[in-house]
Amino acid sequence: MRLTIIIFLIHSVLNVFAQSNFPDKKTIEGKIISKLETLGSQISIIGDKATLPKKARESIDAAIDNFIDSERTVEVSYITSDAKTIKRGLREYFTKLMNLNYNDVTVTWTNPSIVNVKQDSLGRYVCVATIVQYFRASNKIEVDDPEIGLTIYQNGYSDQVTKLIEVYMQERTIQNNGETLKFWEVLLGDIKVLHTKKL
Amino acid sequence: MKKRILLIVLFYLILSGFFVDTLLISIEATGIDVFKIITITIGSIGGIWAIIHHFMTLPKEVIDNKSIETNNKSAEDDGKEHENEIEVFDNEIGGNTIQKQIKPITINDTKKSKKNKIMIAILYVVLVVLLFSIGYFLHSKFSSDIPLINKQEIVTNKIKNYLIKLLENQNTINEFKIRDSIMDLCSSEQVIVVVTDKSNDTLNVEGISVFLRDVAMPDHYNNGNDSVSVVLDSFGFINRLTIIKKY
Repeated sequence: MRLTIIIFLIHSVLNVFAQSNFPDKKTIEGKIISKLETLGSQISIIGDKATLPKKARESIDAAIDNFIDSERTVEVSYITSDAKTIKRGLREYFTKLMNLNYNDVTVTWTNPSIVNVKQDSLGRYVCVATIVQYFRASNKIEVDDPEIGLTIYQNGYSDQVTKLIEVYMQERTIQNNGETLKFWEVLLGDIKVLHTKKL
Repeated sequence: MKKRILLIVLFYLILSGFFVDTLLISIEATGIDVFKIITITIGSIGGIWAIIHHFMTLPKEVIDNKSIETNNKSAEDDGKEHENEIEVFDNEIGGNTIQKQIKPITINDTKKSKKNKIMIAILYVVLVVLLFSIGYFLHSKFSSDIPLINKQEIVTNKIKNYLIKLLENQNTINEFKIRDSIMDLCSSEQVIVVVTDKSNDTLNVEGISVFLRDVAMPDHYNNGNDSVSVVLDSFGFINRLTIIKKY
């Protein structure tokens, strides 16, 4: 009996990957990591003060396109406010990131990893990915006083946040000039904060 | 004479048709660029000017048969008058041996004048051909880094160069200009970009404008090493762009 259950479970797991020309594990991971790197790059561009406003606005649209729908939320945390987290809508989050009141902002996403892929009730493949975000923001003001001389005032905020990201993989079909193109599309869901650390 | 005018018009039409044909072939082979536009403009202006000038400067006799006959008569009369003038002139000098040869205008002169006009018209045509040749020479000399193999390859090379430039100019004003240049090569904004892996499995499909917006992203053309291929429509514009990822 126990052996039958084990065989059944193994069969079920293998069946998930065998269905509907589902890509192999390496391909899935590659696609998910590529998507996370894409979003990380877009977040970095949005936050960067050197980015042209037109480019930043475009990058916000591009970043939202990575999500399964625009109603998804991003959780943010502040180490200074008792590690409380706040949920923001995608556009609100990216717009706030673009308009941060600092002279210099750097956001870096590193160490993407993927936790078990499984099929949901809608037939999509879902998994949770984790990334580590390094956020550094600073203000540097130089005041040249004739009596005191050149004084540099600097303040800033930096933290390291581990984030959990819902990932969906679904097969998409596109018709073009009578040709049917099928491919597996990776889309992101809500982003949550796992833990925050001050740097 | 009307037949002759018709022949001249036909001659110009054939010539201009030949130029347009040659130009279309060369445009199809190499694409449109500044030199070709200049050449076309100069050639067209030159050709039109030559035709207009030719007919504007033709003597009325050539255009109207009746007036030719009338003028022939008057030319003969003029001859007589001029002979009289010689006599008067001689008398005024007082039997001096100096004689001015004033030739009467005859029907031969009218023919010569017509020949001259035709010669001038031919010269204009030669000038136009010369301008075309100079333009084409300049074009081949300064803008032919793309070999004249076929349009498919030329457009592929163009788009590859533009995509690399686009990557180099990220987050600059030039980025948007380069995107516009790429869009000009496309048949419409509905052109799709298919990103595939080496084994031709589709990784991503999206519209050209979205692809160009995200070109520097990892799942797009971010490293510039990927292969590019194009499908052109009958006018030579891109209908579909395929990026084959090298990783």
